[in-house]
Amino acid sequence: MAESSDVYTIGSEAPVEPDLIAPPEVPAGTPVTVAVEDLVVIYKITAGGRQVSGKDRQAIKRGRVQDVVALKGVSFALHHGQTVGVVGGNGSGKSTLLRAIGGLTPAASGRVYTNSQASLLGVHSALLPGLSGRENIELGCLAMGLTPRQIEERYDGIVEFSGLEQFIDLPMNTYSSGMGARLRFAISTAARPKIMMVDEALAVGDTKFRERSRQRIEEMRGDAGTVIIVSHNMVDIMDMCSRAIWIDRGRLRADGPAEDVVELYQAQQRR
Amino acid sequence: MPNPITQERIDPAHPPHGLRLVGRRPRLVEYVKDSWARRWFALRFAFGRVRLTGESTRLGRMWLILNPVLNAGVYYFVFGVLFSQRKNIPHFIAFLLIGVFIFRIGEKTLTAANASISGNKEVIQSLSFPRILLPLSAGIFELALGFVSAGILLIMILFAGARPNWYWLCLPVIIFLFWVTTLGAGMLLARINTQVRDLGELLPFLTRLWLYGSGVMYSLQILLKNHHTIYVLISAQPGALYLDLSREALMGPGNALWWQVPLAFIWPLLLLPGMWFIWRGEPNYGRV
Repeated sequence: MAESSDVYTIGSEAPVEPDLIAPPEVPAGTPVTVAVEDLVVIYKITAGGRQVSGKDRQAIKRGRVQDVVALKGVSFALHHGQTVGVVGGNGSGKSTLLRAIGGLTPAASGRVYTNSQASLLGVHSALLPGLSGRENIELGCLAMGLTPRQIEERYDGIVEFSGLEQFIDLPMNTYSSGMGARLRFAISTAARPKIMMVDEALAVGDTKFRERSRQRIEEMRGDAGTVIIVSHNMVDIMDMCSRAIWIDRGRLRADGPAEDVVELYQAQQRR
Repeated sequence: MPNPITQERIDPAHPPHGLRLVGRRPRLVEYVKDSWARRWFALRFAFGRVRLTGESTRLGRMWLILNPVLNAGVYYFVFGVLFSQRKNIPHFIAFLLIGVFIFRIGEKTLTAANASISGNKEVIQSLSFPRILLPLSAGIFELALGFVSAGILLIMILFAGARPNWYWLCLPVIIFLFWVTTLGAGMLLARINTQVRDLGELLPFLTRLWLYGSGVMYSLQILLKNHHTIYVLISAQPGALYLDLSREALMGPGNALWWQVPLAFIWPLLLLPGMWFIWRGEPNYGRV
């Protein structure tokens, strides 16, 4: 998926002061689960061929711009028990932030610390649509690092949650898109990571399934400790998150109670 | 900016609260252990793909046989008939079929391993596991198909006049050693390919050159009979070496040189630098 990221040369613009830095108070001694310090992530244009807009393309052709700086020095810390929403426009660096926390994309500078491996919810890339639902459950769970024994234990729960008992031996590419999405969600949430990251995965299935998905995420926070949710749906963010972070063109614009951050973000969107 | 919550910078050498730095390369021992723990994923992914082979085409899995057979047909016409190789080489059809089928296993393993990391961007950007599983899984897929095609090869050379004997049992071993060698080379290429994508474009020409340098459709022994040093050197490279040994095993003496046997067990060590090189590339494969 090509993000329409803007292109900047490093340090070409002055840092903007954040509008709000008011992360919720936590009881003393609550462990920090994720700490991000001055995180900078740079994509090389030559290596990736990411999409860029017209003016920037000219600059690239002339060899002036070689890097896309997706994150330009972001800092925050998350605590056990928090569900944190990440908001921001397309190409603002939200997905990059999640990938950096998960160790999937390396930091150019700055550091990320976690107290356990953070996992991105989403296994669709490791599934083979020609195989049956059953085989894909096994494959997806293995991809997430579950052992064959764990898969055996959780298999029935996954099928039940997806509601696809009758279709489980059919190839996945015969499923409707909603059914496929339900199965993928059910598989993804079977590995209960301590730090869980959700990137636009909530908007799947029918109303009933969406409600169950939310419950599932809520449960996972109970087991897990920390859930990070990227969503363009501000209602989801306000319903599910106690805290939100606004990333604007690679910088932290706001970090605070979800309602306040969403309000700030929407005010800027309207402008 | 100091961390807004802790109000102080974290000392990377001694992070508090049981925090650990993300995105550093694990120690080699950890990496190997972690890869071993995830072995089932590499296997299931490979065998899942084996099951799906040919589902999109009408002739399906027949192409597994048809492709090398058609290749052999073309080579038979060009090299056997036009260049008269069939008069110089006894049992030329068996000679050619062995060459085409066995070489294809190595070539496909090399190519698949080469593309396994750069071609799986989406997996790399969403799941964390030792990336070495990608070339391994791609290789296992090719090995499984390779053994199937080797079985077909044996049936075909029976019809071409070869007579089975105990030496035929060496063939799986030869194929396996060839596979390990090409997988090792493919791993070296795979990491370079993530940096220099042009390699993927260049590779078909390199493998073509390798094909002609391996005596798939003619005898290097005859071709280079007046250039002994070149013949020895070219017989030492894995393509020619494992083809010669396969022919020696299936068609009888006169096809291989004695020192090719010990060398066949040395080339597979290439897997070690291949694995080391992939490990050294962690955790930067996500920068795509």
